[in-house]
Amino acid sequence: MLVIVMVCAAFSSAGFSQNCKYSGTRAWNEMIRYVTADCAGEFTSPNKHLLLKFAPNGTMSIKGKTIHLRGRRVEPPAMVSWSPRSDVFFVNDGEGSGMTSTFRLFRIKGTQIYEDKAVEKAVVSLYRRRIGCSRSALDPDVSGFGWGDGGSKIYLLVQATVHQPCGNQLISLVVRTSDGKVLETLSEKQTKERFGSLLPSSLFTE
Amino acid sequence: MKKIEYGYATYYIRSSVLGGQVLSELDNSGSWSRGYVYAGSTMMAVQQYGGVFWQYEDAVTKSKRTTDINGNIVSVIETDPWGADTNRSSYAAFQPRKFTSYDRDGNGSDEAMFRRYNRKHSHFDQPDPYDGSYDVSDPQSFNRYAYVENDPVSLIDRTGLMGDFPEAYWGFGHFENGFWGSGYLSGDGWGSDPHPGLRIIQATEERFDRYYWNRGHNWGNREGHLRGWSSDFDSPNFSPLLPQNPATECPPVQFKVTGIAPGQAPYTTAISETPRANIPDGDVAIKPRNFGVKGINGNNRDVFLNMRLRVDWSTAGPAGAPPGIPTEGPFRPADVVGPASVRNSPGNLIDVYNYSSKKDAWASTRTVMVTAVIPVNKSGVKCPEGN
Repeated sequence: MLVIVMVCAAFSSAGFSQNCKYSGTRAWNEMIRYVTADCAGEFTSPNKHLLLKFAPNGTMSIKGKTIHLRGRRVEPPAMVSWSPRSDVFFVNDGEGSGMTSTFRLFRIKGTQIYEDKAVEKAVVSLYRRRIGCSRSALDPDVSGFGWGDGGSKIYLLVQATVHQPCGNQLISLVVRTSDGKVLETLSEKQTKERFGSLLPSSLFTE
Repeated sequence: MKKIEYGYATYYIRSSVLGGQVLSELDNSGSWSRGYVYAGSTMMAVQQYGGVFWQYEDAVTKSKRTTDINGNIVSVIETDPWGADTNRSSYAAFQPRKFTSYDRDGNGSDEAMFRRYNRKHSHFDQPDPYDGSYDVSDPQSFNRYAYVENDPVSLIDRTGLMGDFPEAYWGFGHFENGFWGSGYLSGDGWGSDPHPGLRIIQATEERFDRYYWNRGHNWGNREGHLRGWSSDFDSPNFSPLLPQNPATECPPVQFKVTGIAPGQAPYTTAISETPRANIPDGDVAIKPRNFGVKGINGNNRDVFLNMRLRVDWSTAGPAGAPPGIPTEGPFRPADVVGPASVRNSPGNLIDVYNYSSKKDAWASTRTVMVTAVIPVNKSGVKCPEGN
């Protein structure tokens, strides 16, 4: 007797197509979410007062107001995370590929939202100094991967890019949210021990 | 059932009706990610990436082909009859069933339902759990670790419990009643079959007629070639590993080819839009400008996903394919190169996923001649030019 089981969704004639199902889903851990390229995404602040929206072109808005950026716009794929205090959020900007990452921190004061570039700058500078890499090498990738002490600390991952890398190390940093001061610097081994559960295990393949 | 691999969980939903076969897989977040379609115990199709992909297996060599709905081959798995890998596979990671119906894990061993199969040792890792399989008249039955009594060419074991003849040999009727619209196969076979003794081959032919019919080809005279077991039929007719839809084969041009290891590129991809843990080995990141467009969007995404890039490693400099490369191709674009400064810089470039180590990936850079095969399109995606 013929037994044929047609599984789940109906057959589609679309073949490969845009796949927005991952936009807004859990990324490395519960604190961070994916924003998929060309897909919309919505991220509510922990206090439920603010709704951060991503348009398919990467434009961000809160409460219907577009966040105007002085520099380059965010280009998903990206990852987003709200601070538990709802006064800060960060975006790991994949710059249109997701192969690299730029850490972009946004602070909210009253009705104003502004980007604080100092943290990424300081972290990149620290990494380059520590590694002693050449000037021609590209900046390392910086990604936020969580919050500590109720939002007073940010956890950052810094690693060499795929192309023209600055060294080949992976480190993590604990940074004070209020002023961006680097509180701790952890080696790859220490990062794995302390933050292994917050990061993909594939990071630690060496 | 739950499996955690590289920190990423996969959930398997099995069917009691089909003897425990996996019906669907859920990803880390509990979302449906892959479904399987069976006729009897034979897997016929897999649903993933928003599409349906048909599966074909050679009954003797156990090699597999996966095609999309248009008949384009998207994955080739060439194993020996014991399931050992060969270097002739491409896109083997497209779906996880490498050998028979076993799900191959990241550590290379196969989930055989009641046991685990190890293709490197050519036997199961655990002894046969079924005491009733001892047979004093059959000395091989006392080898409790053996796979199908060491006769993998003739037999298949889908559950880890018992060897059986592949349906493609004997035709147990799984193609009856018209799943493929197979008129004269719907009877009892031997009496009404115009080709007595070739019944299942006819059924297989139906599958391929359907397959080629979908592609607009007329294979009406195929029947005359079918004399013997299905291995006479399956293998020679797989097309070259290139899209079969109208496509342009570009002149070979020089590319820089480099590698990426897991963890180096952290997010979802920009073309296939999946988490990087799901990127099949051998998928590549491309620079859209190499193909005449500024970026990836809804108009050209499918063109890139159906594009294939063939690398001539004999032209590589430094010489030879790099160590640690997961497959030598053909490659499928799944991502775009980052960061923007590299993506928009001059020169042809692809990055190959997934080298097993960062060290191998960083040391993998080669300049090499690459042939792109691009679906005919109106999206402006065109052949790359020489550097």
